[in-house]
Amino acid sequence: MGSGRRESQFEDRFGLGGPVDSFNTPCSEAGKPNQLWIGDYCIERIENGLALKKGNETVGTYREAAVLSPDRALLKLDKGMLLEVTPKGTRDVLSPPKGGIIAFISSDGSITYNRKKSAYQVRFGSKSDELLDKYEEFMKEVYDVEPKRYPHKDREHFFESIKGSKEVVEDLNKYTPKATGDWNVPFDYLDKESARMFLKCFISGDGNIGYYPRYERPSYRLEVRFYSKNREGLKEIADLLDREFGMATRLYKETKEGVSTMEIALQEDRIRYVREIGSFKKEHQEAIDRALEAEGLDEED
Amino acid sequence: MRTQGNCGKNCLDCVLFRSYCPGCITRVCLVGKCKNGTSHIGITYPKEFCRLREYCKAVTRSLPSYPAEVTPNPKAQSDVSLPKFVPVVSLADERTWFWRDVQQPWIIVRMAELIKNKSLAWKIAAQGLHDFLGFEGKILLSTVMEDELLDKLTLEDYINVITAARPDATMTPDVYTYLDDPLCLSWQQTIKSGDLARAFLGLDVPVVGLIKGAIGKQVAWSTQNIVAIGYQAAALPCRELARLDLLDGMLMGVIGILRKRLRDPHVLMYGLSYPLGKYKRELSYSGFSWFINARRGFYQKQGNVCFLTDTSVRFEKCDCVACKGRVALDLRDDTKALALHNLLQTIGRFA
Repeated sequence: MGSGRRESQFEDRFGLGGPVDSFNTPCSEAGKPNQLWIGDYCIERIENGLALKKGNETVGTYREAAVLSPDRALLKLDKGMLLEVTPKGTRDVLSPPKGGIIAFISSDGSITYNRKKSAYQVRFGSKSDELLDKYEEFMKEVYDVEPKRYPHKDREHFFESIKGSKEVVEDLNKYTPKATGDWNVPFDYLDKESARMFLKCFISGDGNIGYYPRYERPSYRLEVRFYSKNREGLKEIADLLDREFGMATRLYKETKEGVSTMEIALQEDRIRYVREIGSFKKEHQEAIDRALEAEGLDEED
Repeated sequence: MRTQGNCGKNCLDCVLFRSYCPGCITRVCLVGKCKNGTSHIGITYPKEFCRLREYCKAVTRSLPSYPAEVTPNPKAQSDVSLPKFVPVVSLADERTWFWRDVQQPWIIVRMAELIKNKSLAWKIAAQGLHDFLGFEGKILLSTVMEDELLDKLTLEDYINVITAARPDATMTPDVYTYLDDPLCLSWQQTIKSGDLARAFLGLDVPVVGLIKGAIGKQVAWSTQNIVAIGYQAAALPCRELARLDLLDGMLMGVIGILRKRLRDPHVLMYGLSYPLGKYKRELSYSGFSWFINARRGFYQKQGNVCFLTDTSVRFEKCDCVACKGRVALDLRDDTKALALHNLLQTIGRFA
């Protein structure tokens, strides 16, 4: 290898290489070469990757890093997990693709986990090819498995992407209670990036982004809504939106069918949502494009 | 000529300056950018982890040494006549083993797979590449691999792998020469590739010289070195160069030198799966995109790449040996057939 630019090679292979402002941080004043201190933790470059040390103790060795900065590092673990190192301590976080898989399953998927019958299955269903493609891409990236796609018996144009794997099911079961009941938001394992992917994938499956004309008025309204029968889950999503992105939400009354709706309350937050988070669904992306192109949208409301 | 590099290094201290190197001509040097206040995560930032520390004047001085003189060697074996397109195959993935359905005179396999997968290397050492793959044509062993592997390998490692695998031809060792590295680093790497190419004279298989270099002068030096050693065929890794629109300029220089010095020059464009439309006599191509596209669910049709679900191909029947009258959507769960279809489409572009 080694043609072209090192910067783009790093971006392609490791997701690193982005520019940062390092003005007035001279090399000569930096610490020992190949050692990065984050609080009490020291990340050291070794022959096969990186070693994390605390005091004289080696916490672990890792092949790659997803983020390296003087106040935070993300070291890659297996099965789409990352180890976040900050001055406060370390914790496991979901990588964005794994956060996406859990959100897809929470919205329109299921996990079958039955030890007695030895039944282990993960499925995600949708009418949209782009969502199935994205889900399968994430499964390949995280677990290196290729789910099979089957048409649904009773629902027209509806496909299900199914993978029977004990390893995958047992791993997912650690982060979501979907197999035993309702889903929840895995707050303990989300950082801002994986939270963004969780919301993006959830709204693609069980949500709506629309740009509609207002009733008897010459203006348009941007709508960002999440739907679910799991009202508690929606409250958790509202909490996530508030915590990570500072967005206010409103939760509507349950319908007769038991479906609850949660909406981003303020127009400025809705615009921020479509710009910063968005959706993978084609219809949503078209609405986002229309909304962002429309003149004077930022001044509305 | 500039005698002061963007990084602050004095080019007058370097033996290559003027005779080989034009001095600091690149505006994208990562060390130079770092000095001006822009660092790159994982490369020059955080500063404690800077990979180019050795090449920065503030820390230490590292300059390339003068390249050794080259004398032509009549022993150099380079009798490799490649077809217009040579498919790259994966040793570990049998879905790329297409020869039961389509005959091809040459294939390329990657040494990197043998370095990374020890059990695979043992199997191949026991059987040889031909028996392992069940392929009766000729096999070219590609030495193009990731930078971290290149830093570890010694000349003995290369020779051991080649002797164990028994290919029909091999390439000279790869090095890394990035446009945005300081020139002293890319010169060191280019000269290293020249030294290793000379050391490959001892092999008893034909060798294709690998042309490396970040700037025109380095590419020209590398090409001249290959010809001076006596290698008749050359390979140019060009995936990244094509992406940056630098291929035309580099190729013009390479072909110019080869035409002057060889009667029948031949360059393998490694990593390029579409014809350039010029230098038709001199160029052949090789690539793995036929399989990479298939693995991602892409369907190739007359030079276009589209999703299997794309309305332009979704229900279109294809009668090639892979599709056998099936429509594109039917290949969704059959990656091997989709890859074979893509390969036939790629080969068709070179016919």
